[in-house]
Amino acid sequence: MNNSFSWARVRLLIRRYLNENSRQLWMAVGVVFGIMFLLALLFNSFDMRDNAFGVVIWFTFLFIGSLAVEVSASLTFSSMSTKPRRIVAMMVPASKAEKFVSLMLIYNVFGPIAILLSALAADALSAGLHLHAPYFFDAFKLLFTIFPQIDFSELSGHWGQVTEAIALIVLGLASMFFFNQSVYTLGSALWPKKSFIKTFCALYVIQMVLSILLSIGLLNHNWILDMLSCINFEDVSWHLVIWGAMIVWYAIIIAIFWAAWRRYKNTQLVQKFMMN
Amino acid sequence: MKLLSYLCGVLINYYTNMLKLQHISYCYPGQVRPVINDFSMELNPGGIYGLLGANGAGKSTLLYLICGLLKPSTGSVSFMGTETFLREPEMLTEIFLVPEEISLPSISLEKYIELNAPFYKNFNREQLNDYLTQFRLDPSIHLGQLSMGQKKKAFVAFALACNTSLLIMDEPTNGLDIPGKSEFRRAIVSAMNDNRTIIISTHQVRDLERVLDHVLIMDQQGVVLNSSIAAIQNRLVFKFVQDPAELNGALWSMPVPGGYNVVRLRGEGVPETEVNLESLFELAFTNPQLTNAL
Repeated sequence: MNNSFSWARVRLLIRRYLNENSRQLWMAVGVVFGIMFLLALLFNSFDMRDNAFGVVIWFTFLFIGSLAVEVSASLTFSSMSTKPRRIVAMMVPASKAEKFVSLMLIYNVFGPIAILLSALAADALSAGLHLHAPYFFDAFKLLFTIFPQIDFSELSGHWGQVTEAIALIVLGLASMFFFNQSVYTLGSALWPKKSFIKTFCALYVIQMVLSILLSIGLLNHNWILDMLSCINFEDVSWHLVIWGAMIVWYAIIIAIFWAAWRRYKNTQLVQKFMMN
Repeated sequence: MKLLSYLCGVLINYYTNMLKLQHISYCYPGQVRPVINDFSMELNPGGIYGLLGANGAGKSTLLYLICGLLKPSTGSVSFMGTETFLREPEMLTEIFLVPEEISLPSISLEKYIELNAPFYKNFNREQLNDYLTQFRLDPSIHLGQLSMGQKKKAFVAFALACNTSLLIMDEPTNGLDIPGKSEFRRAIVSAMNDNRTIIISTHQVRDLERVLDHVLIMDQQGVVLNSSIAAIQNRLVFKFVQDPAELNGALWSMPVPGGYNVVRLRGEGVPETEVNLESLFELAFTNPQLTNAL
């Protein structure tokens, strides 16, 4: 054994963590499955897929799924929530980076996959009970219905734009997922106990403060509007703006994950927000 | 090249103190008064050290600083030449902490061993079985169904079987029943060898009086006394006397039911006595010059 990063130790840590917390983890997956199943059963019972409620159903599924993924991210450092648990976690012979990576994999990769699988299973099971296709499969069916209707000959000269648009949509959706993950992971590093609630409240406060500051800024400082009025929007390359914004957005996400790592790396047994 | 660096490492470790605390201070967040202030100490390998100190002297804090669980505000703590706060894997395989309050998962002991033993290169399963037998614990037990005392025994057995160079225990006899305390003493003594150092922080000095071979008495500024039991026995005698006239010439005395506990300098021809840690503790604070001479 040496001090350089070892994937063998990461595997040992993951195995150890999953086994020691298997009951709680299975319960969490079970709760997600249960909620999804009840929702799917409810929606399937009324067979609301062919009307506007179909969209509501999708958003409800998406909302519950996102919430579960956020809760999963907020549990990343739950092993640091009490002093005795912190001692155990910090004294395991593995580097700080190995411990961080193993927890990130469990709660930010395996967690969302488990949530997605349980949602799919719940949807399929409830649909099976009513002998029709589940909503998730409907979504795929929808994609395959849309594709044949596209006149690809019209797009032949615009393949660059099409692939760019798809890339932007995919990266945009992925960025929303990663942003949520990063924020709740940082929240977990800051407040390992009751992390979800605390991070949610902190986000709400930040959002309120920013809105107020922006409103005050716009009302009292005409230079913001003056500056905006100086820009000739016809000359702006939207291509550049969108990609620039995307890069900045991903840089922010990476910075938040980095902050979570720094906080974890410098964690002590007793420190601010961790007085118990 | 690897062999050369390994040999250099071995030589450096050999010529360095195993554990070195240099001018460390530590203040808990939100507090003004430091718990530990400009504290220095060096420990060499081998022996069972009893760490004694008054409430609030910072014994647990010191143990956490040694393990790298806390970062000193000033000064440094190094174990075999490595800063402990880095908590590098190589260092952590050589340090095991048994905290006062133990957190164990709700799984079988077998599973716990299977999951945790691979992290410790010197872990010995046969030794673990021996310790479990000494503690009268069945290896097939489920950790979730154990009492606090039984959990502590199981954890101590695992800690001893990991064969780390440094084993640190914070109030290990708290929560143990009377037979458990003697089982603990037996296990500790049987686990000792020349390469292993055990530091036991305790208030329950009676539980460990016959186990320790070094005593460390500390206050916030540092070590008030760091001496082997043999050296103490060589210089001092600890007695219980009934006649107040026998208090003359005593370095320290205290009334107890039926008489007095007395500490005297040991003269020539006076037989050795067992060390009374309570008396020694009081003496260390009332007569620091003498204890330094030990």
